[in-house]
Amino acid sequence: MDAVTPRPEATEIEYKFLMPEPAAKNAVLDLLRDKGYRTSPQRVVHQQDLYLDTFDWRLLRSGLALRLRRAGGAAIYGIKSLGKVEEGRAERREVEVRIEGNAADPTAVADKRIHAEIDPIIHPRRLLVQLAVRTERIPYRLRCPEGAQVELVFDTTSFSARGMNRPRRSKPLYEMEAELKKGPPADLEALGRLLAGCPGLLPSRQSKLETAIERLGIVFPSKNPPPPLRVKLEDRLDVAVQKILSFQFHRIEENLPGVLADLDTEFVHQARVSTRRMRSALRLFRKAIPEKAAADLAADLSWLGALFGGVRDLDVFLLNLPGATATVARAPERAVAILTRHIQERRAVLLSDLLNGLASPRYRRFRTRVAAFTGRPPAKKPAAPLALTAVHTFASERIPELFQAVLAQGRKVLAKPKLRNFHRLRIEFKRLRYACEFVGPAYGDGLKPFIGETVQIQDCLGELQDTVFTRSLIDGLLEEWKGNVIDPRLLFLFGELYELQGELARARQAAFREIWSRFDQETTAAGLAAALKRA
Amino acid sequence: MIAALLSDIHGNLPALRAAVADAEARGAERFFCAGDLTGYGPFPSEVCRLVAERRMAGVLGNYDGKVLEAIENPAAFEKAMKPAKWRILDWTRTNLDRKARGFLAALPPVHRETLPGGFALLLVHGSVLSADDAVYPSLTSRGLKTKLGGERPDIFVCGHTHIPFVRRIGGVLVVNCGSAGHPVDGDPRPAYALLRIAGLGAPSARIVRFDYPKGEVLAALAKTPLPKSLSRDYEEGNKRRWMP
Repeated sequence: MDAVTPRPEATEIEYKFLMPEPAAKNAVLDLLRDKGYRTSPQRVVHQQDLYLDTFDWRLLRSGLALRLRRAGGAAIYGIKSLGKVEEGRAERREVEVRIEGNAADPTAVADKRIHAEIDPIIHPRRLLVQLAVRTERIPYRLRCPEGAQVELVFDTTSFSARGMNRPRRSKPLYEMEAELKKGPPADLEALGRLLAGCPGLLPSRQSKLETAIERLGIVFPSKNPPPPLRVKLEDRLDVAVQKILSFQFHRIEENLPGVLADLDTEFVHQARVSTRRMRSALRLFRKAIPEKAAADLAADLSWLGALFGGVRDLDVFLLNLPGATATVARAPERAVAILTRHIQERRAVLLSDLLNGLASPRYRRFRTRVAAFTGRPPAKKPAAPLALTAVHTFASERIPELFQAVLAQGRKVLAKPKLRNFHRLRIEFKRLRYACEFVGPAYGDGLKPFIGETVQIQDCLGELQDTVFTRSLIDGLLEEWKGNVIDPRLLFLFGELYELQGELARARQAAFREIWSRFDQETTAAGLAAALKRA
Repeated sequence: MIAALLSDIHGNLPALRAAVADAEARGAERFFCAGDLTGYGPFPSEVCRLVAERRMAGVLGNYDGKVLEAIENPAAFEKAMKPAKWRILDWTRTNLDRKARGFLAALPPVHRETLPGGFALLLVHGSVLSADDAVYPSLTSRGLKTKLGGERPDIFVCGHTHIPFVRRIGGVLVVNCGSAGHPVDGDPRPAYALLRIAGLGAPSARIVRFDYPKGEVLAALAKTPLPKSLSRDYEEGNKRRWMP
């Protein structure tokens, strides 16, 4: 895709009606001719529309539709606001950009204007083709008795699901659209009223995209997938841990299609988070579960976590790189490109390791182990000492302990702000947060405010850890490339990025003091105690 | 104040002349030279003479040091070096006149100076640790601390790697001048740095690449027994193996 021809942003006003069958076209044309409209047929057009969005439909959820239309050898990107459709009258903001070539990779949108519209919404997600819509358009030029010119089009449309959606096709949709080309809008409105009274025509209430989603039965991915975690206060701990592991394993599996197709970095991230949570659960409830089973699962999770972690760490680096290089004065573009390509290649290797791992007998064995662990009936006389302890009893003791461990470590960080102390605090925080989340459903929404208070600190600690990773990555690359020919501009970039990490780390450490001072308060402790007691 | 920071001229007199003229045209009042005036190029004595005439504040480079040592003890070098390398060193030591020898021998390993505005400048060839040490563009604040050997200048000027760069690291303006006579970073144009100090504001520097009458050095090189492969460096700015 090279040259692009942007069309000025326009507001499109049209009337849309659903038709029961294609033959209704003739009845409509007869009616219009009877009423003094002059109709002249135009050339039939076949077009393919590919609807692009992130896997989690961020554009659609923001009221936008991004479409690549291929028709008559031309390729046009269009971004439309999904405005309201009332009584068949649709009003939408629309930006169209015609591109050279046929856009071989539809997701690589090479137009700044489209990017300016979508980037703030989709970042850091990637675009993928979600739907394909094929339409046969039979257009007529219509001259109204009052003189206005209208384009009347009879569409036969078929939909098919792409991307992560279950592949399927829907029945065709028959629609008629009337768009004002020349003349006063009142003429179009008069036509709209006439058509609304035409037997068999129903005003269309939604866009083609919305119709496609409805007809194809597309389900949007949700952050809270079914089945929900149903840990109860009175649950035995061994039962609770079964529920938690089952829930988190379900989340790993749910993200695997996205991981396997490498559709978006979010899938690896979510799968890794769930892996961590499973490990954390095994650790937290270790006295409530059989030792051998826990050890086997922990070893598998450690292996799996390393596979997900390798890819995720590089994803974070790549996601942060544009922001980081933007702050480096005179960052050499070529060096940024070389570094990006190198990290992408490295990621591809790690992703391949991950995919091999997921296809390996070890993963199958892990899956079997999880199923066996989570599916077995609770033992009548379990050997694990805390197996029969109720969730509430355990949580009301253990969570305050974890909270105290966080406070102690946080105060240690303030006294000695060393990176390893920050890292330790991050781990303690994760343990506390995960424990609260594991038992959270048993407390209704009681623990949510407390969990919310930990998020800001964890984000701060996470960003600090990212700087540590970036520095170690640069150190590793320089060590690995020792003795090789390296573009000096890349060395310059490394030096600047390395120093930038230092600045970011110092800023995060300063921010931490402030956030921590708000967290380390009597009210936080009291809020947690009250939430655990209220149950 | 504007100062020109040069390094690694390596016997390329036409390039040095062009650098001086270019820097003066840009307003340079002072010249600093981070060493390695000799070696590889066909004008070792002439380069020393011009540096001396222009009263450039300078330090001894690692190659210069090697040349001086080889004058005293050639056998040790001949034995230790690869023949092609020895050929260059041997030619340079035998073609360095007495005045140039005396000039090089008087150069210190480190030059410290307080510039207008009270800014402390530290000039070395490699680093404070050694003239053989290398300061690459990937330098980190931790690395800089080591390279400075406990000193804390405002401006740290070095050469040796032939890879020019300017970076500000932890409040220190780090300038590697690159090579004003023998570039090896793929760009055949030699480089020097221009340092600017305006009042009490933070000093700034930038790298300047310049053209020079390459034919003169190539013609002179052809008349010497120096390896013909050296001409490729002048033509192409030959890339070497950079050790980060």
